[in-house]
Amino acid sequence: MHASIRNSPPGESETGSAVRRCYDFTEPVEREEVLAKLRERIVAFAAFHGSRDAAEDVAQETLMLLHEKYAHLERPEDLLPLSLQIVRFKIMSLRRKAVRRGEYNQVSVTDIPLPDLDSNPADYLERKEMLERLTAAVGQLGERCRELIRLKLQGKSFPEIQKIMGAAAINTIYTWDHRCRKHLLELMGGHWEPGKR
Amino acid sequence: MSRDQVRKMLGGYATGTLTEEERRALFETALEDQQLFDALAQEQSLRDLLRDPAVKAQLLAALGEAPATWRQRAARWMWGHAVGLAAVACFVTLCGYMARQVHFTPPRVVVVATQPTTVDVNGSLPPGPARPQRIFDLESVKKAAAHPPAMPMPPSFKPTSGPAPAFERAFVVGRPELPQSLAATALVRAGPVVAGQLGQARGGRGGGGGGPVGVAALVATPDVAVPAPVALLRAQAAGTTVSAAKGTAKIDPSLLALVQGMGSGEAPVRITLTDAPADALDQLRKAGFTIASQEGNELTGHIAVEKLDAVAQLAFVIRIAPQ
Repeated sequence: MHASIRNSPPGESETGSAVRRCYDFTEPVEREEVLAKLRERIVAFAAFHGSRDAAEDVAQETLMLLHEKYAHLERPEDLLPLSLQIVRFKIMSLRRKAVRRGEYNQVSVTDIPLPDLDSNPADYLERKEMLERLTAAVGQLGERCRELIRLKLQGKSFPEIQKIMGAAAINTIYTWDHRCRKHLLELMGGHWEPGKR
Repeated sequence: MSRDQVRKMLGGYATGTLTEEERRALFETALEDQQLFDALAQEQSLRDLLRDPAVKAQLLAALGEAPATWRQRAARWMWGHAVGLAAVACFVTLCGYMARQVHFTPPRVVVVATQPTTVDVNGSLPPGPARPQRIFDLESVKKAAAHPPAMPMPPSFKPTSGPAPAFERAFVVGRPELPQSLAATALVRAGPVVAGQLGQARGGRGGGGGGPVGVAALVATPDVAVPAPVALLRAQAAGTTVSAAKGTAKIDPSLLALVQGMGSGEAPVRITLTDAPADALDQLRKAGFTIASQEGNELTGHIAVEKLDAVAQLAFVIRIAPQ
């Protein structure tokens, strides 16, 4: 737990109580606020891709995981990417469960393949197909977008890219990257992942 | 940062390009903005993919192949088509050549040279195969120089008061100044009497053979058997018998050359007559002429070379020529 330092009110002594007042442990309050906002966003996002009940379940499971395993994280820039990754995995798991349960197409129980717990061929194929689509789409971009993506993949930050590409302002780089991402997404059919329409 | 500006940072999320400040701004905004949150959630799959170093390397390799500009593409197109066009041109040329060889072969013209028409200008032509090769032999040249052959002395003319008497003595009065080894030279030409012309050729013209008369030179040594006409010619040259010279003038020069080549025997001749008397044929037969046929005033037959002189002496005989 980290504590944020706050200015002590004027006129108070610098005793232990004062120190206790100065180090106001407000993290749980801020974390609760961040988690509450996250829950709201996750439910909305998951509901868009599935049912409302499933969305509630995804959000609940995600917050429980954050609370149990990642209780030390409190900043939004730490919690939000982690929650996004958890949500993605939860949604993918829900889809696979639905397929196994025959919610989309009823099949005989004898025809259902047993899951391989050591490896996931579905994930492998999905990643492979996504990479092929991404490689093909990148090849169709213009020279500026290709250069921008190349620099990004090399680990350069936006300020570094601004210097390399000779842009006058950082906003120019943001705009170029936004347009390139939009064009790349259009070339891939509007979705990064295959099979999503 | 404005919300729109923060939205533009979305592309940096998947690649991990954002700085701490940009991340904080983006995620704090995403907590308040559902659309941005959804967009970030959709970017998560790409982010998970790009976390793999192998995937990054593959994408960088794909991006390393810089797209060709329109000039490069045009150059590639031109070169590719140029090579193709060159190959097609070579193929068409080869096919055309083969077709021409098959269908348009011109007929062969065989030129048979009946006689060589080469002209030797200053000895520029190489020696022909028929020409014997002259081999320079130094020893034989030395021997020849040590024992030079006896050369005949040139004719010497005694100085006289004028050229005409000396010329007449040399050719009319039995060549007293000519050496014995020197062959007699006669000037023969169809027409008036040679001796008479020789007499007219005062001033030395007769020796050179110029003037209105052509020249045919006959050279003979005294020890060689000479046919009668040739002896007659020699006598004409000497000027001893003017009448004989008159008869020889009737003989065609070609017949004289033929007689010279034969030496002896009978020669086929054609005799032209004029103002022939009634017994002309008998006189010809008596002179030795064997008549084969007669056409007008021309008689054809053969006569011994030795008797040609007698026939030529007949007054009604004006010309004797080979058949």
